This record gives sequence, C-alpha cells and structure tokens, in this order.
Amino acid sequence: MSTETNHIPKENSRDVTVSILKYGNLLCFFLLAASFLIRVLDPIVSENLTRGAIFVLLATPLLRLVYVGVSSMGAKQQRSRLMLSIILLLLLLVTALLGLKH
Amino acid sequence: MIFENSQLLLCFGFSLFSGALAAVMGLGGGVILVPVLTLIVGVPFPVAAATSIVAVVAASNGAAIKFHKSGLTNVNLGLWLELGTVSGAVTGVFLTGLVPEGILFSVFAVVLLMAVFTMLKGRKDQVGTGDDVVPNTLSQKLGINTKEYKVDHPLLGAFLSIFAGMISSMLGVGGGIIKLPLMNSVMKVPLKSAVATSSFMIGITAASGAFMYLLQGRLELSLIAPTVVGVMSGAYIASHFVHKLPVALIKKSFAVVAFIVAIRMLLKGWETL
Repeated sequence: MSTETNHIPKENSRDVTVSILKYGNLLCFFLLAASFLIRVLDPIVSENLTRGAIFVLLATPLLRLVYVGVSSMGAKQQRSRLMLSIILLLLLLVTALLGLKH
Repeated sequence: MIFENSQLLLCFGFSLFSGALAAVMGLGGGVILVPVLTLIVGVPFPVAAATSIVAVVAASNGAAIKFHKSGLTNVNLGLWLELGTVSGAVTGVFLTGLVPEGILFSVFAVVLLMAVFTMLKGRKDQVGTGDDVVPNTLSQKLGINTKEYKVDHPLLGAFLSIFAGMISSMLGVGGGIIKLPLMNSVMKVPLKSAVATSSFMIGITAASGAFMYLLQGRLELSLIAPTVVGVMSGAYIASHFVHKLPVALIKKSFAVVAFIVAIRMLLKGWETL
C-alpha cells in the first residue's frame, strides 16, 4: 500500500486556515494600533492592549496548527499528520512550562 | 527600559519603511528591522531581536495566506521540521541571555550578507527529476512524500532545522535563509514547495520564540505596538504598489546599504566584545 499523500489541502480546509490567519492578524493589528494611539493618554491600558494583541498574534499560528491536526482526524491516510500535530503541540506546551519556570 | 514618545514615533516610521522594503524585496522583515532598531533607535540587540520576532509572526501570517492559497504547502513536512525549529527557537531564547551581544551582532551581519547575496543572485531549484532520490522509509511513514516528489534525508533535515530555529529566535529573523537551502538541496523538495512550506513554518517557529520571550518578561511591550503596526502597514501599502516600483533598482540600492550596515554591525560587535 502506498503511503504517499497528496499534500494539496481541500478547498474548505484552505478557506478555514486562511480565515484564521486573516482575522487573527486583523484583530491583532487593531488592538496594537489602539494601544499605540492610547499610549499618551493611558500607558497602563496601552500595555494591557499590547499584551492582549500579542496573545492573539501568537495564538493565530497555533490555532492554525490545531486546526490542521483536528481536520486530519478520522482520515486514515492523515494519521501521520495528526500524530505530528499532537507531538508538536505537546512540545509547545513543554516550551510554555519551561518559559514559565525560568 | 523606558522609551520617549519621540523614540516610539521614530520606531514606527522606520518599521513602516522596513515592512514596505521587505515586502518589495521578498525578504523577511527581521533582516531590516533588527539593524534599524539597534543602530538607529538605539535598542539593545536582545530587545531588538525579541521585538522583531513578534513582527515576524505578523508578517509570516500575511505571507502564509498567499502561499496557503497556492496549495503548494507540504503540511506534513512542515510539521515534521517544526519539531526541530521549535526546539531550536526555545534553545535560542535561552542562549540570547548567555551569548555576548558582540557575537549576536557579528552572526547577524553574516546572515544579513547571506540574505542580500541570495536576493541578488536569485535561488536556483536544486531538484532535478527526482529519479535519483532513493525512497526513504521514514519519509513514507511520516507521509511527507507527495505524488510529485519524494523527500530525502528527513532525519538530517529535522536535525539541521534546530539551527534554523536557533538563528530565528536569537537574531529575530524568520530563518528562511537556512530552511530553504535545507529543504531544496538536502531534502530534495522543489523550490516552490519549499518556499510555501517554509512560510507555513515561520509563523509557528517565531511564535514559539516570541512566546518564550513573553513568558520570561523579556519583551519590551512599549516597543511592540509601533513596530508591529508599522511593519504590517508598510507591507500592506507596499504590496499595492509593488508593480509600479523599480524593484531591481531598489534591490541593488538596498544591497549597497545592507553591505554597509553589515560592516557597521560587525564593527559594533567587535566594539561590544
């Protein structure tokens, strides 16, 4: 049995991935722009907005990664993709724990 | 560090310019942004790298949209190599605190020269017909082979990706300068697919590096907003005018400036050591 996979994703999957990236980036942009503009008036609110924007920005590629993993669930030929996604997410979790510890 | 409003405005202006320039030349924003932040705004190298890596995430999200639509991304290969780049990015963040600033400046100068050289020379596809690639068992198990090509040396690729991740988080760049030749020359992935897969990877690698910087409290929050908004706006504006601009002339002018900047960074590195 051939294990070769066609890596071109389905149209629907591609749309969702593009939406995640597009809206994640857009939200982050507006939060950061607001933070930049508000800085003169209230530096604390500005800092909180920046922090929120960074979380949105960093969550965007991770959310895409989760979607890649979830969308490959149930498909036999995509088992390796699901495994790789889970391993990578675990690695990122360990990374987060390491970062918090130090 | 406390930044004056004038410094932040300066940072916004230069980030806008960096984002536009990077978009016109097809470079990652980091190679322009880090010299601007360190040499012009006067930010220490580790802070500039941490700020730049956040901007790289934003820029790569935008680029990934374009490449994802093309359908050339090899997702499984990207995920496999990410295991190496994420580990490298995390290690890089720890190393940034240990490695002297002078060395970071010097390594960055070398990376900048490499990026400019590649940009001017253009990249040639190193993959032939693919007949010479012996089917690799691990590649088959990982599902990274496609109908169009077979991937060679998956283990070596993942190992070398660690260095790409380290360079990315230590210097605040995307790391495509290492990933592309690695995928194309070593793993025999066709160039177009390698570019798309690299773009898929950069976001996750840079995000993990930025996340570590954030958790360690090493991100200068006041710098993030002007920098990222500047880079994103610059790239957006430039993408609408790129066809009207004399790209070849801009590339040549940038190469001259980048060469001077690289020498300046080497000297600064030497002074700091």
